[in-house]
Amino acid sequence: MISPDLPDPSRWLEEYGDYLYRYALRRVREETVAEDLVQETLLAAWQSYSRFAGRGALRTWLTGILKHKIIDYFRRASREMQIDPQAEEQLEHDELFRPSGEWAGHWQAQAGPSGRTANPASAVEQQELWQVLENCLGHLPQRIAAAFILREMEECDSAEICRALAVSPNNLWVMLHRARMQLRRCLETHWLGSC
Amino acid sequence: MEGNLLQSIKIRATRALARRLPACRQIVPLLSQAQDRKLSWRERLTTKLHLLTCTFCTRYVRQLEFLRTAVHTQTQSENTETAPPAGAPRLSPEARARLAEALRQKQEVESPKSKVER
Repeated sequence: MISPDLPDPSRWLEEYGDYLYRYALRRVREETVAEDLVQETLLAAWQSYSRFAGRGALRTWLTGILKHKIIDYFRRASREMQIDPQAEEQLEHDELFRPSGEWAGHWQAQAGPSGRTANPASAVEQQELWQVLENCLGHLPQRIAAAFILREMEECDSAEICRALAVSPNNLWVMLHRARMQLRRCLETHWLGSC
Repeated sequence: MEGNLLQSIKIRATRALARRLPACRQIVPLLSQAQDRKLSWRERLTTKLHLLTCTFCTRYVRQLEFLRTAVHTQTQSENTETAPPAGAPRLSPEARARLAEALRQKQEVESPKSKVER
């Protein structure tokens, strides 16, 4: 019988602390929250170490625990997030569509999506693109950003996000549509525009 | 001559079709939802036909794909990261000390549980 070595969480902190911290910070975007999540993760990992038992990579296992902690965090936080219906509605950018006339509801000729595309060619460019995106995310209302982060970064399915944020599927789809409309607009201005 | 005629018929037909279909304002939410759920056949037909007539919405789809790819590329490089990128944020020394202390305390009060898996 092979028993796994006794865990030493302080070594996990040394080895994976920064990694987990960055992972959390990219999603919750608040340093103290990210620190707390790393702490919760390491404590939980230590308590359930017998379930890990050396299968697979330790970092992957720790990250899996952190993912749950992040969803939990958004669940708790969403209860206190301010909802500003007007600000959220503005994200749909009604002004980009023609208000009236024969082509009412179609894109304004000057404001339609740009045809430019610019995929990052190198790791450095990828990093720059990510910084632009993070900036754009930072300007979204909190719960809209939370929905987008859970959907696209954590790749949760709709049902899981609906449960976490306590919204209906229709509600979630509207939130995601608003997030994407705003983010692609932000990228158009700050990334595609500069190429 | 004939080419011109065909061209103008094509443009007229496209415009006539575009006018009868829901406008872009109604289509863009569906283009986003296509990333989150399976659209109904009616919704798929409407969006397909609309995209045939609309350059802007076709570009919009490309932008949504670009956005998704950008995020996924980032999360994937995160998964395979072996060394932290230069200038990447780290735990501050204070936070690190606080965490180490919390772990130590926890270890003192509870010894590792050798839980039996259910």
